[in-house]
Amino acid sequence: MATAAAEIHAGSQPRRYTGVWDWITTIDHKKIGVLYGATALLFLGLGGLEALGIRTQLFYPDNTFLSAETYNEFFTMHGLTMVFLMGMPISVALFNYVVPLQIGARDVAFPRLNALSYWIFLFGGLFIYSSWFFKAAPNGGWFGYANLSERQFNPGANMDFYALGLQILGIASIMGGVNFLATIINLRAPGMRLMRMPLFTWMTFVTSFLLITALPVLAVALFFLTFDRFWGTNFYMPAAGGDPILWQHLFWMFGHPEVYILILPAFGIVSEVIPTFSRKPLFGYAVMVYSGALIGLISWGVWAHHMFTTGLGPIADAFFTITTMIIAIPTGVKIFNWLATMWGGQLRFTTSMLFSVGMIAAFTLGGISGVMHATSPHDWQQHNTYFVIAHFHYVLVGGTVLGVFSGTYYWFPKITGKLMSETLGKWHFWLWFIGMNLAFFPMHFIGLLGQPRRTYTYSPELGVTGMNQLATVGAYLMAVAFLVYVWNLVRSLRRGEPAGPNPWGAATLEWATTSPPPLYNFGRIPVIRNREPLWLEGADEVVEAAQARPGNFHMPPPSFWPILTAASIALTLILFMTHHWWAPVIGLALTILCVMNFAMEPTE
Amino acid sequence: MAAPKDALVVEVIGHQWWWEFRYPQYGGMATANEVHLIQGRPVDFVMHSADVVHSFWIPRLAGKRDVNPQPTPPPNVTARRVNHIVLTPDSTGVFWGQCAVYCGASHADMRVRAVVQTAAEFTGWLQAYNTPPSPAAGTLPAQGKQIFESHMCMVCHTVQGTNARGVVGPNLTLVGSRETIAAGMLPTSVASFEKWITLPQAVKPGALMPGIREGAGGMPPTGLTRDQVHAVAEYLASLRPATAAAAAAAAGGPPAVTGVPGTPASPAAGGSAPAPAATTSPAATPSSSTSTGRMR
Repeated sequence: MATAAAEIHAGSQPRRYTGVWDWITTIDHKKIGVLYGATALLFLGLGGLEALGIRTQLFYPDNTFLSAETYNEFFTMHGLTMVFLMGMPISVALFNYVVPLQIGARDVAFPRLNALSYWIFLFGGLFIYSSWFFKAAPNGGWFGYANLSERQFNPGANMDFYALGLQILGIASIMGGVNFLATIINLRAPGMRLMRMPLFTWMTFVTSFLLITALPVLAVALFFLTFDRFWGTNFYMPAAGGDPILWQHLFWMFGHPEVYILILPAFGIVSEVIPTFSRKPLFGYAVMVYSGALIGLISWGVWAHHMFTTGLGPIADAFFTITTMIIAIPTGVKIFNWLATMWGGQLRFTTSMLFSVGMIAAFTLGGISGVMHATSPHDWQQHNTYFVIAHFHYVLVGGTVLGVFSGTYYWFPKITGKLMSETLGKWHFWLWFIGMNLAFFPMHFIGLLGQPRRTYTYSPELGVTGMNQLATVGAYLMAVAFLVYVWNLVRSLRRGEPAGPNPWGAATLEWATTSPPPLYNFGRIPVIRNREPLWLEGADEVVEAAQARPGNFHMPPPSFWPILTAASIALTLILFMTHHWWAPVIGLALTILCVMNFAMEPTE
Repeated sequence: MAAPKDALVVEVIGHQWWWEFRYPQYGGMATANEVHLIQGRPVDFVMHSADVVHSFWIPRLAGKRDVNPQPTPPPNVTARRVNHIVLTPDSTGVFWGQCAVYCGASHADMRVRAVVQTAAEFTGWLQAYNTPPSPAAGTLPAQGKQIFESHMCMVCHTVQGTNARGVVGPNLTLVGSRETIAAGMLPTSVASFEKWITLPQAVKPGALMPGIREGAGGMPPTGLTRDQVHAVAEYLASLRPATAAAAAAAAGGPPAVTGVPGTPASPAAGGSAPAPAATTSPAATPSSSTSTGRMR
């Protein structure tokens, strides 16, 4: 991919780096996408290790593999990692790589901001993970309920890493959301009307809206917590008239849209994969778009279903029961439309297709238990038990992760120009799918039998030992599957079969250009006349335009400032944690210096 | 969810990591980690927390409800975060429960038992509570009592009928008659008391109780010797009802802990159907077959 630089012979290209420097200074959406993907994969591995620690501890009742304190750090970091450092960025990786190609753009709307997003995300992740070296990993659960997270009950630096680390990650996500909204609104190819956009781009659009509206709420909650912890305010401190339930509202007002931030991209991926491998246009395209948008909208009105046991009263409980059930309707529409797309199609069960079909099955199961939670009297039993863990792992592993796996098998040939091994792919799928069900299905019963979540041990009298052991075996099976996946990625990267521009015979625009695409994506921006530009009339012209010799256009130069700016933001927060008021001022001055230089840097 | 007028009011106070129960209708008598209820009589749990958010959950009796810390209200404003669970237990038995919202290091160790008794048994338990046993002079338990009252123990703990009046830790009146100690972590026995007094942190990481050599919760180690620990353990194990009524109330089959919520009961409908001996508790210790104030 470093050779992409050499292909540039258009516009003014004052300086360009090679090798590692190229990756560090890149503002190419494709390289940034790969960086996001690689980083997210690394964090998937780390979060997976934490999961194995958790499952090993729970193999026996009263096990002592992990101490209570370490276990609490493990599940907190597992949650934070999988949500903020794996789930969101792995979707953003695909947004980055695929969306500009799908809409016929040369890059995102703000390529330099895009690079800054990535580096801030990376340093935010490293900041949170550095807590392990200080023996102070966050230990309040990913939900960080106040007032347990306050200095009074948590005097160490653990929850400082939580509050400040998530704040940094939030900045990256908001910038990413702004960028993709601007990109999708402004940079579509001629003729690419909104209702001709591929579903994946549509879901990116909806997700971006959720990002820029949900993350600020978390930012407010975290600011309150930071103020409480560092400057002795009392937002969540009941002894001084504050209220811990304020945190619950703020966190879940962010937290529920967050769930859809995690799942909608997977919906988008599946909506690309299924038509391609069924050789049929997506069934009910318009309804798929509307239901995706509706899910995004309604996700704002359901947050208190996380709080049915808080004691909000019957009216609030009834309201949120109803809104939560309503959200099942557009979700169900999507599931039926995927099935209808496959109905009568020429099905090809490639690895990518297997993951998508598996996703429909597993996500449906998670959706059903979701509706069970929505029923508030039911939820009074299930809430905060392993039943909930079973539910959201079916949604997030069965939904998001299977979707993303499907997406990587689908777009890997586009990204690298090489096909992934189907044999290894099928091993990956079956090991993962079996392991996943083994790990998460018994958790339904573990929860109903009375084991609450976030418990480092359990009593043999609960009668859940055997099922916990089954879950642990499943978790290890998933670890094996993950290794097969990584091996497949590495092996295929080095000696996969050449893919060609459109190995799957897909319909959308990203498959018109070469694999991997040149830096500028398309020689000429193609004119779009329909929803399946590579299947319907005009396909030849689209391909010809995409692969044409580039005309004279400007691609912005690389920059060191994004990584330096991100590093100085992280440094500011590290200095902030020294509790000397003047220390962060140094970092702040450095940040301002970097931002100034970044802003003033010539891009011609 | 208004409670019936004749409901038994039980104040539930969550602590890191144990449960306090108070009976305001019975002179504010307090117990810990084992709540006694009356078969057929509605009960109104009035719940709040002394520190962080907990969640009170006895699966077989009702769904869970959060136990929230109370914002200190401005004058003339009623505290708004008190939650209630109202239910009517319709069968006797011991019902297992546990804190259901993550509340810190030993969240997993914050367990609870509900003991549902007949009205007569409950009255016997009340009487026993108000006529506390006192060990005969010269015995080992008497030595233990003397140590208990003259060392740090009494700073935090109350034993009815002694000068131990601390309110920081669990009330230990009749603690020898509970099925478990340390909020469900150990079956009640002299050995368990010794283990707990010697090094509470090994049983419940982060607990505020100091051990004999390790301080905790800002308090120094108790510095008790092995012999003293043994005497105190004997004393605590001897804190069992001695009255005839209690002995009569204790007659019955072996207790069974029903912790398996097969069919969740709605709080309004009261307790679940009887599930005789669904699981026999390993916590049914030697002491549980003796004449204690246990239901059946």
